[in-house]
Amino acid sequence: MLSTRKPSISLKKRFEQRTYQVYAASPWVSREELIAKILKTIKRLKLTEEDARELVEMLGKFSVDEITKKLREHGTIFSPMDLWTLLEDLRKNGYVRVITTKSPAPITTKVEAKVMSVVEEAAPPPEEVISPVAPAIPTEVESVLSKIPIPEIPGEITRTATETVSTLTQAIPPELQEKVKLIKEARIVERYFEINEHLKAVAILPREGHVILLSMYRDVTIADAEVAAASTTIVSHAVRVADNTDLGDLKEIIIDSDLGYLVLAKLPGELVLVALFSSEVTIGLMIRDFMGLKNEITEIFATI
Amino acid sequence: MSFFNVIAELQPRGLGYAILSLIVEDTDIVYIIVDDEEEKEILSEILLELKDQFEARRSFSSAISLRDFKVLTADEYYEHWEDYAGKRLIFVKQDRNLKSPPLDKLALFIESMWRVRSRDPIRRIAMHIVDILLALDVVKEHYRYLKELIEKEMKEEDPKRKKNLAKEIDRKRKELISMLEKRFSRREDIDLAYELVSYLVDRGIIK
Repeated sequence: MLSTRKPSISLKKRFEQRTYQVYAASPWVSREELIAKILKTIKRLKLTEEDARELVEMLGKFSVDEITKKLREHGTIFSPMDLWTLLEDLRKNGYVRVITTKSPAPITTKVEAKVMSVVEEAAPPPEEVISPVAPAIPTEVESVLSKIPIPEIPGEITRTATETVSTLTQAIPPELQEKVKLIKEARIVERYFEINEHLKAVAILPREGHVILLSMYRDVTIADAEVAAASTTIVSHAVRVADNTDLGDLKEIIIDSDLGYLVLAKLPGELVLVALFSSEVTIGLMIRDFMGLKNEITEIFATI
Repeated sequence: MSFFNVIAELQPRGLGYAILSLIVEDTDIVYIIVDDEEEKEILSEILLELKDQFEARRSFSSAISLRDFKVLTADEYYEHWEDYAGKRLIFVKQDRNLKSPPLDKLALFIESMWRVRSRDPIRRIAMHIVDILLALDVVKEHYRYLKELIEKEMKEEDPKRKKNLAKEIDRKRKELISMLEKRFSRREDIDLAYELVSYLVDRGIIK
């Protein structure tokens, strides 16, 4: 009998490792043959022969992440996932192989990260609820109000508020919490912050928009109640429209505004991915990185 | 799990790729990654047998050497992958489709052992590969001379001398093949030996 046992490879480690892989062309494949194969494989990305040649030159020397950065410096828009997918495709067909990995470089971009059990505005402001002292009231109003009996502030309000938070925390299924933890530990979002300076914030929300599963940002956060509610509603309607009009699967929604772009997409398990890019970003680069980020996160959530 | 079951999992190309890595990689040690402990055990046994037989039969002056190796399960590798950064990795299953004529021939031979359920397959595979490796020592000088002739012919502009060189190349090539034919009866083995010697000499892996 053949063994059916599959290896229990740590997902986190596998995700971490793959963009540090160094792919090398098969020594028995000519450079011209490989270039032709690359151009044939990724027609979608409209790579020029010169780009493909440059890519082939870098094989065997640099990791997926390093090649992505170098290609971007020369104006070739690739996300690490695009490149990884291309190389894996070539690998399956025997044109390239993985020969080693590079040491993980420390991520220098400073990114705030948090999992929020409640959206920011949904949480009751503590000073309003907790403080037993009534705020100062203008005298003219005070005279009217003095006739109305002041409702007693319950002493256990603080406890009630805490309970609300903990109930919501419990509302996030442990499996989902585990996946979010995996996304953070595999530093997926940080890598995109590192390679795209225009990416300002990323959030993952459930369809209801009542909790923020993950919020990572620099300078500006999008983890607030209105963004969450609006984003999930927009995505939900767009998915329905795409479905009803036979447009196929919804890829992404771009909200173009004066100061930046908000990009939204549906993730597996009725989750929504939101990313904020500054207005200086080029649209192609933004879409590539957003789709790369979405694909990487989707892989982790796909088992939900 | 028997040898035959492991080969069914790794496939002849997977085993061939692991063996080839010991011959052609230009590093001191290769880290070979398989799925689980059973595959690790059988593959280690095959590669150790190959190394032992080769060391026992090679001459002191042999230019050929086999790399040291360490077989890891995928779990062992991925849990500590950072520690293997910069090392030569051989992913047996993921890279077994590598386009490589020597690998094609090696896989064909392993498959023949596997299909007929040959007796003592590990020892027989090792013995056969060692036969081929020992032949490389004999033909490497001939191949080097042949290569020099080819380079000379390519640079030569005088048509008469070019024609003479072409004749000499043809004669040398036949001589080389004939040396291999004396050692091996099967065409695939001759081709495998030729592919290997050309690869190792062209890349300066054997001096």
